[in-house]
Amino acid sequence: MFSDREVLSTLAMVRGENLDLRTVTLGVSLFDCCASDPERFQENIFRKITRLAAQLVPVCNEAEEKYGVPIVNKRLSVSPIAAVGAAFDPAQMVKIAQTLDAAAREVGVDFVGGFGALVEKGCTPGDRHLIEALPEALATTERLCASINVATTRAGINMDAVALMGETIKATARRTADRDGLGCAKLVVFANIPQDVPFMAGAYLGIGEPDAVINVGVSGPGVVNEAIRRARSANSAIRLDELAELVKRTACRVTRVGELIGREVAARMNIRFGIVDLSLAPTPRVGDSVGEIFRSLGLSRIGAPGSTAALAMLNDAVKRGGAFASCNVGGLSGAFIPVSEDLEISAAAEDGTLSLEKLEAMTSVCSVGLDMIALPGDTDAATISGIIADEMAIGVINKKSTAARLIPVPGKKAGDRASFGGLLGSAIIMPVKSGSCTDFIRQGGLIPAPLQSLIN
Amino acid sequence: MEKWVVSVLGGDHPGIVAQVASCLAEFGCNIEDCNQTILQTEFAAIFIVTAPEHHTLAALDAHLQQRLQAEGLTVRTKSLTRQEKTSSGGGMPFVVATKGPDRVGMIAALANAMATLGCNINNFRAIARSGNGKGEQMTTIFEITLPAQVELSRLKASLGAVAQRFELEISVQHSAIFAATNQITPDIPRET
Repeated sequence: MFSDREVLSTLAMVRGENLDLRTVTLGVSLFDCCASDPERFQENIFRKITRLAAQLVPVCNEAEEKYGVPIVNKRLSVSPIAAVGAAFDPAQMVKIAQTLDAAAREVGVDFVGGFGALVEKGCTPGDRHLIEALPEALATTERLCASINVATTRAGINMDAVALMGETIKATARRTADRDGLGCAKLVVFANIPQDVPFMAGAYLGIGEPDAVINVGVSGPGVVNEAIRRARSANSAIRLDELAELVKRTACRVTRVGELIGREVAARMNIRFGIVDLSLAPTPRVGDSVGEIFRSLGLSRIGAPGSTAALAMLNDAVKRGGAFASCNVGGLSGAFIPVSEDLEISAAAEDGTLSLEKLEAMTSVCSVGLDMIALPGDTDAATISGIIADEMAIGVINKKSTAARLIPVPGKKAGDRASFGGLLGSAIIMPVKSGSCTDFIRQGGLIPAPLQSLIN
Repeated sequence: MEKWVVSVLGGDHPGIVAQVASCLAEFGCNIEDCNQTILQTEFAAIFIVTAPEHHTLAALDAHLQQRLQAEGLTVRTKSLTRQEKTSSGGGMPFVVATKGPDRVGMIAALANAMATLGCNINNFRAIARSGNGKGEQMTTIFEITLPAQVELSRLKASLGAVAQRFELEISVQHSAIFAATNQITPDIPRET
C-alpha cells in the first residue's frame, strides 16, 4: 500500500513536471558485420540492426502504457564506424551512413549514433575517411548522429584532429547551409567520451561493450526545478545544503524510474540491460528547462555571477542521487546546458546574460560541454578548433567528459536566430570574442597527457 | 485453528484500541492481524483473532457489545472464511488515480468498471478538497489487481469512458512505478 502523498507526488512528477524517459537506446555491435565488399557490409549492418531493433519501439510503447511514463525517444547506438569500416573510402563511408539512416527509419527510431571515430592519439586511414565523409553523410541523412573523440585524460589532446574537426564543422555547415547548418547539430567533438552514453549526438557503442545492450537516459529538470521551487516557497530560510539534499533525493527517484523501465524493456527484448544515464537534459518546452533551475535557486538568470557554483552543486547532487538509486549509472550523468534545446538558456544567451566564455567556465563543472551553440557563419575553422581545444582541455585536466557541438550558421551573424527543429530547438547566434588562434592551431601535434593520467 | 473477525466502528476518541484489545485479551483471543484507520472524525478497525478453545463466537459478541456499546462503538463479529477472490488466478498490481469534480455516483461508476473486469480493489482512498472556485474536488486512489487474462487496454478504455463522463483526469499505472519512486527498498511486484 502506498500513502496518498507517495501516489500524488509520483503523479505530479509525471503529469505536471515533465518526468520522462528521454531515451531508450539500443546499442548494437557491428563488428560481426565486417565484410570486404562494401555492399555486403551495408547489407549485414541493415540486417543486424533491423533484426535486433525490430521490437524496440513496440516494447517501449508497451512499457510507456504500463507505467504511464513517457518514453520520448527510442534510439540506436552502434560501434564506431571508423573502426568497423576502417577499410572503406569516404564515398563508401557515406553509403554506410545512409544505410544506418535507412535502418533507423525502418525500425522507427529517431536517431542512430555511432558514425564516429576515436582519434585521441592519432588517426587511422579509416578515421580520416570517416571524418572526410562527415559533411556529405550528415547532409544526406536524416537520423544519423556523429561523434569524434579527439582527447582523453590518458592520451592527451590530438591537436591535428582538433584542427581537422574545425575544418569539418565548417564544411558540414556549408553543406547544410539551407537548414541553418543543421548537420553540425548532429556532430559532436568529445574528450573522454563514455562508451555507453545513450544521449545524442554522442551515443555510440564502445568497443568493450556487449553485442547488444539497452541503455536508458532519464531526464527531469522540471521535477528538480519544482522540488526546489516548492521547498523555497515553503521555507524562505532554507539553505543551499538543504536544497542539495533535496536535489539528491529527487534525482534518486528519477533514476529509479529509468532503471525500472530500462530493465523491463531489456528483459522483454531478451537483451542485456546496460546503464541509466541520469542527466538533466532539457527540451525546448516550458517546465522542462535546466535554465529555470538557476532562477529557482535565486539567480536572476543562468549566466549571472554564481551560475558556475550553482551548476556545480546541481551536477554533484544529481550524481549522488543517481549513484544511490542504481549500481548501473553510466553515460554522462549530470546536467546538460545545451543552448538551443533549453528555452531559458537560449533566452539568457539572447539577452546577453550568458556569454560563450561563461558557458565555457560552466562546462568545467557540468557533465558535457559547449552544447548546441550557434556561432556566426563567418567564424573561421581555426577559431572553431580553438574553442574545441579549450573545451577538450577542461575535460582532459578534470578527468571528465566534455564536448563541443558548435554550429557556425552560414550567412548569419551574432544576434540572428537559427532554427534546427524539434528537440534541437532554436537559438540566438552568440558572438565569438575577437583574437586569433590560427597560428596556434596550425602547429598541430599532440598536447601530451597531463600528470593526472599517471595513476598506475 | 478457527479465527474470528471483529470489526469496530464509531466516533474517534483516545482509548478505543486499548478497550477492544483488553476485551479480547480477557476472552483469551490472540490478535493476529489488525488494521485501523481514522477518516475525519470516525474510527474503524478490523481485528483478526484466534478463537479461544472454551468460548463461542456468540459469547464473544455479547461480551464486546456489552463493553463497547456504551462507548458509542458498533461491533460486528464473524468467523473468518477463506474465500477465493475473483482475481486469485494472478494478476498485476496497478494504481488508478482520478482527480476532478466531486459528483454523486462517480466512485460507483469507477468501481463498477473495475468489478466488471474482475479487478480486485486492494486499497481505496477518496480525498475531498475545495477546489479554488471549481467547487469540491475529489481525488481517488485505487490500488487494484488486474486479472492476468484482462488486457490493460481494456481496463484503460473502460475507466477512460467513466472519466470522460465525470470530467475526471485519470491515470492507470503499474504500482512498481510508485514503489520505485518512493521506497528505499521497493518490493517490486512480479508478474504472476
